Amino acid sequence: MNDTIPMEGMKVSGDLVRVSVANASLAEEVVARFLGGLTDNRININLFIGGKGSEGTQFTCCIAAPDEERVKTLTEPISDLKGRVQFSGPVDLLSVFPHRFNLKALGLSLIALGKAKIPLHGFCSSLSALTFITDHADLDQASSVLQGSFSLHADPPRPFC
Amino acid sequence: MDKTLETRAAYWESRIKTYGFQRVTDLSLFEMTVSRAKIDSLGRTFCRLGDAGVGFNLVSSWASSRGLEVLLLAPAQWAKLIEEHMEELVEGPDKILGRALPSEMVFFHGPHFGDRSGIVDTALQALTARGVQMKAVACSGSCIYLVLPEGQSERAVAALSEVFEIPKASSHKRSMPAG
Repeated sequence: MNDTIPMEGMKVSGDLVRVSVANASLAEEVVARFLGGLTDNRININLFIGGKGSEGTQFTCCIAAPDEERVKTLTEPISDLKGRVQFSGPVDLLSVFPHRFNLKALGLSLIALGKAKIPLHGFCSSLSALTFITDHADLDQASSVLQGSFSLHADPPRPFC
Repeated sequence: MDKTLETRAAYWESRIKTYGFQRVTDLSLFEMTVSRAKIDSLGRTFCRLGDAGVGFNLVSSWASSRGLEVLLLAPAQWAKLIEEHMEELVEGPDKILGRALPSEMVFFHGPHFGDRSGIVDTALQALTARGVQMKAVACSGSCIYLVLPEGQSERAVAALSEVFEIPKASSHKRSMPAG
């Protein structure tokens, strides 16, 4: 069952910080205020995942490390985020592609990362890629175990979106 | 005096261009909380589902105090099979909680999405202004995904069309579900 499947490449986006509210439930307008602050200050989000988890509305996003202090300043006036928002880093986004909407690609990735006991802070699919949030300290090992799970081409032939 | 010239550029539009909104209906959303100790078990379940030909439209997950919160959005035709496989994981001390909800999805992308600020904020504001409720949102790569309760995707596209620029020929195109 766990035989490998072909993937074409891997991409790393580094120098990121994870911003998350994951141990509390937020009102949707609080998330809106947070995002509005980022928009007003032209701060880009590399990855955003939000939804209703077991403890209510939560989100995790990744921003560029140089924006961390500005985002901390932006969140301070939002009283509902006080003590709830966490900044952790450095983290990387490690993407493998193309997943071809095949659950086995995700399954093999989770098996590899789980067996290697690499802390996983989240993941998300896009049209082509599966992206995993890992600690920067674990990047080499995470890359290695994912490469071991897929028949990766040495040179990624095309970009993903 | 520093004589180095610096050029800074920002991509800005009064009305953000998109390549059109893709609407997908007849989906099931599975919400699970997975203990960190069970991540490889979840992986094996996904492998079995993949081997059975089950596709997905969106997967997303974030870490919480209880483990990983996992959302799996897949064509409704696979709901029973997915539930059966997930039930195998519910046994034992490290339970994986799950429920399936009838859902729809709208996703879109546009020029330089992924490198620009404010796009998801604009989208969520548009939905809020029209009272469209969402179950989940994900921005990954250059795509924005909005997961909606059953019957809401048309209203969502209408709300988004009020604030985003859309190519006239593809504003309401319905894409083929995965699987």
